[in-house]
Amino acid sequence: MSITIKSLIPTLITTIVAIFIIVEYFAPPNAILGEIKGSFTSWAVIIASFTIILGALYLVRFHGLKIIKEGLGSQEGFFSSITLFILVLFVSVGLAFGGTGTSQYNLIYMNIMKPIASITRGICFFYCISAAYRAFKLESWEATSMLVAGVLYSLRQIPIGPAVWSPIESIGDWILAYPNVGATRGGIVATAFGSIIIALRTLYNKELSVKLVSEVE
Amino acid sequence: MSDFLSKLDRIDRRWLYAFTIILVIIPIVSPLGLPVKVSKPTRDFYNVISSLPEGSVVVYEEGSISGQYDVTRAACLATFKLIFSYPVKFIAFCDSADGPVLLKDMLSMVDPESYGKEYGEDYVIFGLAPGGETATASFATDIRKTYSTDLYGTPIDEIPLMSEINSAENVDLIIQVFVGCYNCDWVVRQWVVPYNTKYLGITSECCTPMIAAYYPASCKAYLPGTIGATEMEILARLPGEGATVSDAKNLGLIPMILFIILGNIAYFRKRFGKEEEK
Repeated sequence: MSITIKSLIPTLITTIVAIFIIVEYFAPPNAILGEIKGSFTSWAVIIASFTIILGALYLVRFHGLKIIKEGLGSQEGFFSSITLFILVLFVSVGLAFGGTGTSQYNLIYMNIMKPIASITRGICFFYCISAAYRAFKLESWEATSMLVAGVLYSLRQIPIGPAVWSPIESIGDWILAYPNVGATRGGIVATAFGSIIIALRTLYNKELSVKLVSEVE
Repeated sequence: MSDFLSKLDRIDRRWLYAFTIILVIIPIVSPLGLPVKVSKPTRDFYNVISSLPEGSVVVYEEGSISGQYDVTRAACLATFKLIFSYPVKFIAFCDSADGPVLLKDMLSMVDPESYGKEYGEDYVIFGLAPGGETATASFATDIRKTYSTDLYGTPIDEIPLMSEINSAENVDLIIQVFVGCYNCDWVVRQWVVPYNTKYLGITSECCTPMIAAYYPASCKAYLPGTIGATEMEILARLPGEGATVSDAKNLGLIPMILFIILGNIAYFRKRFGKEEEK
């Protein structure tokens, strides 16, 4: 594929769309610009919807090939077949009964997906405890401040903290409202500056990550 | 003692898990019922909703996922009960794939009809708008270009509630539920800055530090996870599940803090032991 199709056309589309979005955002309210921005953002929603379909197709391809390669008898093939079965089940129920707003879809979702997700989340909590035990060591001033602030704020977030020691409430609130807000706002501003630089580099076709993706493909 | 500390340093993680499970179960079986003081963000959250004029339009952006549903649900339920008890219009849309199902599940628990609300007239639900911040921007700019139908397939122009509403300009308040810590930026950038819409956030405990950075200028108030839900239930006198979940968390966090202390004792013993040997 030529460099024009791989790199120049995507950059041109990105630049034109970005210029309209940026101008609309910073300019005084304008009906025409608003209309154009509305169209562009709704197209982005449609494109994002197609990426879900693409994701499903990649999932089928990945697990389908694994089943063919490993066989249904193997452990990997068995788990891949379960994944594909669940995918087919959800898509079939969604299509057969009229989308994700139906009680049938709700029923299988709340009894399959939700418990699995909750258990995964619950397991993370246990890993956090184990990780905190092994990693939170008072090795430096930075680690100590992180540990003390984390523990005090966590205790403020549960009723037993203030019930046992009432000053924990104002200490936790102070940590959240002052050191945290100062650091987070600094982070937000720094991220915004970084985003502006990356955006400008993309518009000028100088951003390496975009170029590398084009080259790989 | 020395032998105990060396064993502590090599403790099997399964003991930590077992200890935690026991402590989490205790308050579920026998609730502690500890007092909870209402924090300022929660009080502000309640005040913003309760001071909405009659006929105000409230948009609700559902961004929770099923793995975090148990964390955000109590706060959402308390918020729904409060909103439906006032004469305001309610429009919900989803920016997460799990959103439509979770939203329907919560609304079935609250039952808006029991508050005298009628679907299509007083409240409406839209499905998933994928694309993250772009979807949030699209909904704020032009609802009809984002959705042609509601979650049940009714064309948007046939929904009476939507007859005079098409963008953030017609909206008085947006409430966003988010569990990706940077997602609160979306509403600030796409609703608060361009349209000056009032913004309330509902999130998990771990994302609270992020939204606190926008409080109270851009984000008028927020509910920080289950503790926020518990506070809201107390403040609005709406009994719910927040108190139960907060109760379970009470002792659940204790082993984490206890093991951090024990881990450090073992660490310092090992460290100073080595220094003494030298």
